[in-house]
Order: sequence, then C-alpha cells, then structure tokens
Amino acid sequence: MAKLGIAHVPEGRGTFAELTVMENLRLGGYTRHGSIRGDIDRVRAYFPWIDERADQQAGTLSGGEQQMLALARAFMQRPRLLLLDEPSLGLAPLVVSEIFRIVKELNEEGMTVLVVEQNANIALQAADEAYVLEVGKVVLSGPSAELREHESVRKSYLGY
Amino acid sequence: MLAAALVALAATVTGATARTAADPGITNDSILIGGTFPLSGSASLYGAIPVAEKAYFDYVNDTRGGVNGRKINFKYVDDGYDASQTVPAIRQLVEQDKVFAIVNALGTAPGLAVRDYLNERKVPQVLLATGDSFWGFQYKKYPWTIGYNPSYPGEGTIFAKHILSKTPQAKVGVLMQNDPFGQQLLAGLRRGFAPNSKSRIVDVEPVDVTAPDVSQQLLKLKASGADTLIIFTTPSPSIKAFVTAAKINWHPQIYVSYVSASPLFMGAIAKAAGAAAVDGTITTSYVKDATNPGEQNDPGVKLFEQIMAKYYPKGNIADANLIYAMSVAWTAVNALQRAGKTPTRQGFMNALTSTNTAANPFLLKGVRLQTSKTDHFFIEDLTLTKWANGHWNAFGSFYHHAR
Amino acid sequence: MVLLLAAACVALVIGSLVSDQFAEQTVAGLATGGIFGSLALALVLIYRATEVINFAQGQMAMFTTYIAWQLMQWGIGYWGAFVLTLGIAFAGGVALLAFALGAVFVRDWTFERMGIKQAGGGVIAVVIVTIGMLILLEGAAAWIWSPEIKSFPSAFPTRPIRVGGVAFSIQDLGTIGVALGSVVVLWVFFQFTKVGLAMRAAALRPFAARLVGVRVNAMLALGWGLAAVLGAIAGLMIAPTIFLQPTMMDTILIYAFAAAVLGGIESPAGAVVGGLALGVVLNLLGTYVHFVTSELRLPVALGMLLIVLLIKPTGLFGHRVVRKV
Repeated sequence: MAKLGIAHVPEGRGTFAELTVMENLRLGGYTRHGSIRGDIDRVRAYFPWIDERADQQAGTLSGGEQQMLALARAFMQRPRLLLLDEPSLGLAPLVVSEIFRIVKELNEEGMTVLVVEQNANIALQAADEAYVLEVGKVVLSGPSAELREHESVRKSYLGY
Repeated sequence: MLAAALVALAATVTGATARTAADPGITNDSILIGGTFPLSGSASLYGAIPVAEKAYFDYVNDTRGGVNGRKINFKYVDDGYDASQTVPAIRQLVEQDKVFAIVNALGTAPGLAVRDYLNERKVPQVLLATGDSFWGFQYKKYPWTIGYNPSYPGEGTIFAKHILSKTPQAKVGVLMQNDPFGQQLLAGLRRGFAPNSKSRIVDVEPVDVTAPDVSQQLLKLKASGADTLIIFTTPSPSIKAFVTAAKINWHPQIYVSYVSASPLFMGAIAKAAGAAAVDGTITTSYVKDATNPGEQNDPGVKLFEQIMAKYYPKGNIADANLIYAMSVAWTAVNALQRAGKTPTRQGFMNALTSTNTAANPFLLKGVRLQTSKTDHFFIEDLTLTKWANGHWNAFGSFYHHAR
Repeated sequence: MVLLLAAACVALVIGSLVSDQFAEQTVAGLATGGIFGSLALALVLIYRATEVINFAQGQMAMFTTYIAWQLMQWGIGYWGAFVLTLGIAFAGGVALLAFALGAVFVRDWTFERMGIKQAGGGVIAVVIVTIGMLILLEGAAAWIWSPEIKSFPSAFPTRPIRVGGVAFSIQDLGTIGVALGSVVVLWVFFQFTKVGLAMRAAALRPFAARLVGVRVNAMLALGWGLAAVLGAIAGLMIAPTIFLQPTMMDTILIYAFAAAVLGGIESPAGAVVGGLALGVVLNLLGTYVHFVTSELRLPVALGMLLIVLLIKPTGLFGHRVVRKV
C-alpha cells in the first residue's frame, strides 16, 4: 500500500511508541529512495515542537502530539493519497483544529486526503467533497459546502 | 524296590540334564551378547568402541567360524551415557533379546544402575568399560560383575610414585573432575604421596565435566606456584586444559589420565596449540599405540589395522579407544573358548575369573591379564609413556598391582 | 546503572594493577564472557524479532562451526572459510525461521482440516520447533562428522603477550574485541541505517510497520539470519579452545541465556555486558571465594541473575516504555 503512494494514519494513531520521534519520521520515508532531509525540515516547519523532542520516545508524547506525529510520518511518505482515520479522536478542540489546519495546507499543496471523521463540523469545513455514511451505506454525497447547508446533516451532525 | 527307585531317579537326573535348554543367548550355531554405549549425547565420542568390538567378532566369525562353532553376535544399544536410559536398555537386552551376557557396557553410573538387577538374574556383567576400583573390590557382593579397565586410584598412585622417584621436590597442582572419577584418581595420588601428600600437592582445582572453559582453574593453578600439572579429567575438559595452559604461557610437566590420552586428542591439541603444548606429557598405558611408527611391525598392531581396514574402514586408527575395544573383544573370545563346549553363564564367569595370559595381541608386551575368584581386577600392569614426536613412547618398567 | 558499571570497571582495573593473578583472571573471564555475550546477543536479536527464545541457538552455532571446519578441510583458507560460513549461517538462520513458521502453518492447517479449533499459540509452537531443531542439528552433526573431537584453528596467534608481569592470551583479547565489536556494529546498524530501523519497527509494531511499507516477514527473517551469524562467530571464537564436538555449545548456551536475561532480554548492549559480567564474576568467585567450587558455578550464576531480576525486573539494560494515554 505504501508503495502505491497511499499513506494511512489509522485510528488510535499507530505511531511507534518505543521509537524516538525522529525515528518515526525516518520510518515514514522508508519506501522512498534518496534523501529525506528536505522533507524532515518541512515537517519541522509544520510542527515546531518536533525540534526539541526529536530524541524523545514517541510513547511519551501527549495524545495530540502523537496524532501530529502520525500525520507527519504519513507526510514523510509523500503519498498521493492520505487516509486519515478519526484524527480528532480523544483530542482537545484546539489540537484538532491545528491538525485540520495542516491537513488543509497539505491538501492545497496537491495531496489528496480522505478523512473519516465524526466531528462533522470541522471535517466539512476542511473538505471539498463529503460523503455521509449511515450503517455502512452512503446516504448523502456532494460538495461539502452544499452538505453543510443540508437540513438533515445540520440537525444530525452539526447540531443546529 | 529301593534299587529300582534309585535307578529311576538317576534316569530322571540324566534326562533332565540332557534336555535342559542352553542358557539364554546360546543356540547351536550362535552366541548373542549385548552392551550399552553412549552412541549419542555428551560422551558419544566413545560410540566407536562397540563398532570396533563388533569388527573383531566379525573377524573371528569369518576366519575361525566363531567360538566352538558358534558365531558371536554383538548387539549394542545407545543409552546416551544416561543411567536412566541404561536401565530399560539393559532390561530389553536381557528380557526381550535374551542376551547371554552384558559385555563392556560403558560408564560407571550406567553400570551401577543395573548391577543389582544383573546380579539378581545371574547375568554376567563383564569387562566393563570403566576403571572405578569398586568393580574389583566388591566381588563378594556382586559375583556376576567384573570390570576391565585399570583402576583409577591405581593410576593416581603410579603418578605419585614416578614424581617421588624423578622429581621429589615437585610442586604438584591437580585439575580434578568434580565427580567420583576425578576423586578416585586424586585419592590414588594422595595415597602414593602419603604421608606427605599435603605438602606435595600445592593446589587442587575442581572442574565440572560440562564447564565451558577451565581458564579460571588453570590460572589459579599457575599462580599457586605448581611446576607439575596433573590432569584428572575426561577428554573434553582435558583438551581445554592443555590448550588453556598453552594460551596462558604455562609449561609445567603434565601428567594426564590414560582416559584422556588418546593419540587422537594429543595430535589434535598439537595441531591447535603447537607441539610444545603436549610434548613431554606423561600418562600410563596398557594398550599399543597404533600411531607409533616403531610399532608398525608389531603383529598386534598389524592385526588391528587389518581388521579395521576390512570391517571398520571408517574408523580412525589414531583413536586409542578402537585398539582398546579390540583388546576387550579378544579377552571375551578368550574366555568364551574356555567356558566349555556349550558355554553357560556360570562357565563364562568361571573362565573370566581364572584368566591368566599375556597373549592379548592388542595390549603392550608385559601386560598380563590375571584374575581369580578373589581378584576381579583385570588389568593391573601399567607402564608410563611419554608423548614425543607425535606419538606415545613407553619408558621404564611396568608397575604391577595397580588398583 | 551506568555509574554502577563504571564503578565495576574501575574496581577491575585497580584490582588488575594490584595483582597479576587478578588481571589474568579478569581478562580470561572477559574472554569467556565475550563468548556468552555473543551467543546472548544472538538470542536477543531473535527475541526482539519474533519474541521467541531460540533453544537451537547453541546447536546452530555448533553446526556452522562444523561447516567452517569442513570448508577448511576442503582446502579453503581460514578467512575464506570464515566469510563463507557467516554467509551460510545467515541463509541457515533465514531458512530456520521459514521452517519454523512453515511448521506452525502446517500444524494450523492440519488442525483446521481435522476440525480441531485452537487459539494462537504461535510463539510457543515456534519455541517447540526450535527445541526440535536442537535435537535434529546435534544428531545431524554427529552423523555427518562423527562425534569424534576435532581441533579447530584460531583466528589469533596462540602465543601470549606480556604486559608488565602479566601474560595475556592474544586469543582472549581477540575474543573480547570481537564481542565488543559485534555489539558496536549492531548498534550502528540498528540506530543509523534504514534497514536496521525497519527491523526494530517490524519487531515492535508489525501492523504499523506494514503501513509505512516495511516488509515485516523479511525483517524477521533478517533478524534470524543475523542471529545465526552471531552464533557462528561465537562458535568460531570458542572452538579453538574447546574443540569441535556436537555437544560443544550445550552448557555455553545456558550461560548465554543467563547473560541475555541479566542484560535485559531486549537489549543487545545488555546481552554483551551481561555476558562479560558473568564471565568475570564467575572467574573471580572461583578464584577468591572458596565455597564456590566448580559444581556451584552455574547455581551461583543463576542466583546472581535472580538477585538482579528482583531488584531490576527488566534486567541491567532493559527499560519499561513510559506511555502517556
């Protein structure tokens, strides 16, 4: 899957808790050939805290930092398609919006991102296209902007 | 009336004798004997012994038609040098295979484990491949048991006597295998030095037979100021001791038990650690050294090599165990010949305990096999021999009554 | 921990300066310990890769040493045979894992066909397969090469060198060097190379490792291959002193287990330090503490192990992963 250019950030993050932050990033670039130094620098720019914690075990990071690390690691793969599974799970709202800000940025740079997210509000703000699934079936689909205005979506997921 | 009854009784007795089946293992044209040996496991380097014995029996069967018209079949089974495996293996040989006798079964603990059983059943447990002295001393309680190898304490005493006569001021260090084997050799050495054994022996370092290395013991012996090293261990630790002594640059006069003095090992050590590591080493001996160029014309060595070539071509003639094994097989055949036209177990024991011959071609000239009802020590004649030029060289006169 | 080790090293150096015998015993102990350490390192590698204690490790080392001997018998020079043997050992280690996994697969498949349900047990099954391999390799070696004891040449000269009044064996110093060298090489490999990192990742989190594109099974096989190579090195280092015999590694493996657990079963550096410590302590105890006779060496070693584990259950170098939830 990694070789096909698809990066997956599973629910519950899937970082290597026993390895250091930097090693997690290096593993992200595992399938790539050539230098990954440039990308590590870019990741540092997105997540400035990484600089001082590079040699810390990933398992000792906070939940939000681990989610950001998982995202960073996925980015290191330089995927054509990034799959994010419940990135907001268990995180403080501030952290969630920070994560989505970066996802949006990556997307604007040309990376296709597929997010599965319960927090419909933030997901719909970030996404271009959206699908609403109920019990495994797509019940609604369309541009996010339209869905945001859709009555049942508003009532069921956005809460107004 | 009375006369008639007596005649009838007499007739019954004669009839019974005539009809009595031969002892187990004996048929009209064969004798089945058995033994247990370590064909696998830690002592499996002795596994070649029964093969060489079978080679000799085959040679006797082919050239002389066996003993008194009966071919000798030798069934040897593996006990892994583990007494708990010896017991079922021996029961199998006695009860299912119905062997006539247990010959040259190897090892002290395995032998002890079945000694009561075999004596109870009156099965000869003979020419055992172990040199513990109690095989010889306990003949009253165990009349069906007799050993073969020279007694370990006897060898220890000979070393002491030689040191006292040649280098009375020697400071002796002993590497002793920490089991009855090593303890008996040490006891013999102390007996030989008595009453001054405490001042002669400056250090005794025990070593476990499975120890991964002996450097700690050797360094300590070296530091004790000893100028003579006596190695009372089985082959594996002995080899380590030779190599380690060379490694730590210690060159004492070495004495090593005959148990570990096969030319095979000595040659291997010389190859690995240099000739200086083994040259001048002294041991006792009673079997011929087939690797000694001076003995190439000896009829016994020639016969040995001829039998090896025909019946056991894979065997290594530098392995002293093989010529030893043939000397055992020769002794067994010799006793069977004297055990009567139709040998019985009792007759076989009688023959073994009345051996008196110096004709065993595989033993050094001067070794007399001599036993009696009260002397269950088979080999008591030993000579000292020194390693030089890649083989053993016997020197001096024989020591007798080594036990 | 580091302080404690440093203190121990200082004590050894001071002791060595004071007493020649102490110095000689220490170096000899380190050399034996280096062998324990190399084999312990192999155990640790396999444990890290597959969480399996490889009971066949000693026999693998023995068997590969026989292969080296055979190559030399065929006329290949020492170093040629050395390198070839390491290559063969690597392939053998990989094959052994494949065999073990294959055996487990066949078993599961058979049980499934027979309608027997059984849950997991993969690790235990592999352990049992390694015990089977132990018996098989020992028997095979005796069958192929006969149980006869064979001498084995040394990579290092057998002559000693003198430092002051003390004679050290070059072979001992070489063995210590090889043990330390292999742990440094491994450390560099695991810390700084991509494949080394991927091996650690595959062992720690196989699922996540797959996600980033690591071929987990290949990494496990690599771990077994490397372990076999380390075992072969241990065999080649010890064989000149103890000679070739199918049972040559039996007790050494027990000490290697002790060393691996002492150092922390997941720590390569711990395994080597554990081995060296065990070698030195056993020699010094045997020399200076008189109730520690030869039959007590192993019990004392295991007693030490127990004490360390009571104080520090993860071993000298093991550490628990701290995790925020």
